[in-house]
Amino acid sequence: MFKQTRTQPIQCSRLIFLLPVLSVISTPAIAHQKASLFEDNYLKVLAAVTYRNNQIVENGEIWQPNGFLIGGESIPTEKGVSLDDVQLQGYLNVNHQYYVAAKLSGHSHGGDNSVELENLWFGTEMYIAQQRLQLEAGKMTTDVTDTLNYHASADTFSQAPLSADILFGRHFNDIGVRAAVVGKINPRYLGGNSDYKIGFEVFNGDNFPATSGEGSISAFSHFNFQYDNFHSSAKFWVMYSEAEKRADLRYSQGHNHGVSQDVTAEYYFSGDTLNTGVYFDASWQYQRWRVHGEFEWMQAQVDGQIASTTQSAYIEAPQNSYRLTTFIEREQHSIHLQYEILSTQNKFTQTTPTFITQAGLDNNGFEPNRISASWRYAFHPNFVLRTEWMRDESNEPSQVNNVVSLGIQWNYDLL
Amino acid sequence: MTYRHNRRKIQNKLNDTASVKSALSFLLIPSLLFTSLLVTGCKVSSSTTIASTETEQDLRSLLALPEHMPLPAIPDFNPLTPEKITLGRFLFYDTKLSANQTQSCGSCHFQSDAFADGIATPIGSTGHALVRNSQGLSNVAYNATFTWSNDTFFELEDQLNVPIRADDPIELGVTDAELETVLNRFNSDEKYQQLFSAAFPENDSGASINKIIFSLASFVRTMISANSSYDKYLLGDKSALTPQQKQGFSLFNGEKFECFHCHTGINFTVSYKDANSINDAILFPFFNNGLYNVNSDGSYPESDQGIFDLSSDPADKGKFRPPSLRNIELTAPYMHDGSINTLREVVEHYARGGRLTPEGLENAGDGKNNPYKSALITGFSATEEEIDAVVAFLESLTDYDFIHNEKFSNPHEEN
Repeated sequence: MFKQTRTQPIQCSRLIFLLPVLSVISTPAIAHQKASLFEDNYLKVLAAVTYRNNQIVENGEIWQPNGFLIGGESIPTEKGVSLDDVQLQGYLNVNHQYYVAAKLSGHSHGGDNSVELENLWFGTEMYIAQQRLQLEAGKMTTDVTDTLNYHASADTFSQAPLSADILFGRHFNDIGVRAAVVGKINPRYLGGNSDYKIGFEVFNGDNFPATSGEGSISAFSHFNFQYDNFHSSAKFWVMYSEAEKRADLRYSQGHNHGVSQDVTAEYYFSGDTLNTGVYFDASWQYQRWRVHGEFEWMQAQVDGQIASTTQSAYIEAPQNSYRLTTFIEREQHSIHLQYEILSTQNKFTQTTPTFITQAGLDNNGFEPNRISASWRYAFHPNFVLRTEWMRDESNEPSQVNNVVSLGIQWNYDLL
Repeated sequence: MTYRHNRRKIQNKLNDTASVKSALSFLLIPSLLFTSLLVTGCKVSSSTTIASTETEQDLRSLLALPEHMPLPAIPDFNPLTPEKITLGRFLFYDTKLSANQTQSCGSCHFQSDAFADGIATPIGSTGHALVRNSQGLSNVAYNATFTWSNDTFFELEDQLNVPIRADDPIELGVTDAELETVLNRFNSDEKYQQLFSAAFPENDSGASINKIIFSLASFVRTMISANSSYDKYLLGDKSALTPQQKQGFSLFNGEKFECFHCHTGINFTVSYKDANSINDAILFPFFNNGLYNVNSDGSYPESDQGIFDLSSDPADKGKFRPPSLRNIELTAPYMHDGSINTLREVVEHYARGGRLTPEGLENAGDGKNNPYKSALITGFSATEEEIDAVVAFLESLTDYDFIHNEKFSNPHEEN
């Protein structure tokens, strides 16, 4: 007899329990810390324009990797020229009492333009028992991993990582609060220059995989280590999100990317998602050369019910994503390589194979994967020429697309 | 001095060595994590499984339910058994079940017509003219409510009381006064004594109206129709539908014809539930489709105004349940009163956005202007070719195995 259960053991999240051990080796000595978390005021603009010779789904077709429920803003880039991203970022330090940061962002492609206030949040720092505490609140991105704060104008590649697209709806922005302790790690335990940040966040749930009002909570820990020309960092995090009747609105709200309403069937997800992540990078500078490598693993434990107007199914699915990135840099030039792969073990109950197939959740042993290579040339202090090749197999098995692109990243400090 | 200098150099060297060791120890933790992830919980392997319980499998077997059909919701108070199904089949076709022994359920529900009867409105056993069209019985196990217009009949057992017991109008005429006579017929029949004993072994007191209703409901629940050309197409045989039918399918699900809003899902109706339906999500839809507009005040013919007859709320005038379209080709004439003869006329009715009954005729008025008409029925312009295509698609829902299946045939005619 199969017993329906709403709980699932989390294999990899037990890693998070190592963190208290690490935190023991920290020092509360303020003297060793950076004087303040406050930054100087700034106002800057960033933009990315890219030409692509191909796209990973045909116009009018929906991008849904077989076996995965996706949503948010995960729409792949299109053939031709597009303004991938433009951002106006501002930061105001108010007398070192608090700060206000904001980000206005937009994109333009296929004749459609959109601008939104992506972030607006307030922050401050304080000390409790000589421990530095950072508090932030507002509409902001999560701090669990930078991967969820993807922007084509600021990141290495012009296409968002598969893990961010599939597991989080591209980039994470939500209204919430964050509290974190920040400090140095006592050199007695770890040589060089090491610091940590450990905190938690509570969000309203506006970002995939949650739904508004249902909420997301997360806990994270970051560790940085620097010794001479070697730098390394590690991040461990967990996030729990709840959703109620979450629909995939990517192609039905605003610009529909040529997808007719007729082909966007409505399926709703109600349930919870437990995400876990581990990130690790290391880089080493030797004279004018720098080499860098990073690894990221994310897992989503999906547990809930999928329903259409009439039928439904219970789903339990651990979904794993892996990303390996490396680059070598010499002065203005750098060459980047990235490999990404995802897997899911979808288990359904109380349903039919036809419903699962119609909902796009029969993955048939499919693992979406992508290889990306990029050559970046910072030919001007404000400009980077970005040339990329991407081999993508993320939509359906054997549907392999090669995309070559050429683009410019621009950034300029207005203040 | 030299000694102190050398000592400092040695000390620095020792510090450097310690720092390098610390750096290595810093790397050790993520390296171990990385390795453990690879070795233990991080298989890059996708799969899709659909699990079912033994009870579900038994029920599927009992209903001979094809894999693509969901399990119907069987009420706990009347579990399905082969014995009850057998008894129900005998009762369904037995005229002993009417007070004057002239009619059975099968008198108005012919298997060759997918258990409709081919006439606008039937005549009861005592000659009473009924006002509603006999509905087909294909897949009624998936209905959210029963009869054309009653929002309190959630189970077949509720509905079955009406044709058997009602006295205005009389159908089978088993009124309180006739009940004992009818039950005695079964109790005095040796064959039925065995059938009742087998179906209800825990209560061997002979026939009762509840046992009759429970058995009939069990038999009718087995009337699953799922082997039409459409089903074959759904299961992957792309040649099962003609090009014209495929065009019709597309129009059916398009925003022009909008048929799918009311006739969606595996059973082609939003009035749907199955064993896995979420209680809060089950819809109990009733629509006014603009068939009449008597006196231009939204009324339907006085003999039958739909939900209004139960609620007395004018907004409920003309509200009827959208039936399943399974085997719709065989269940003409159409609508709750059988007032439209062909499928083509039905599509034309919706294309016009309501029916015009000219002045001078009974029930004159333009249904297009019925103030209580569903907002989904706005009318549209369609070519002859498009209407033909939609009709052709509807004809693809005909299941010839269903109307020839011996499981549903009259057992009294078997040798």
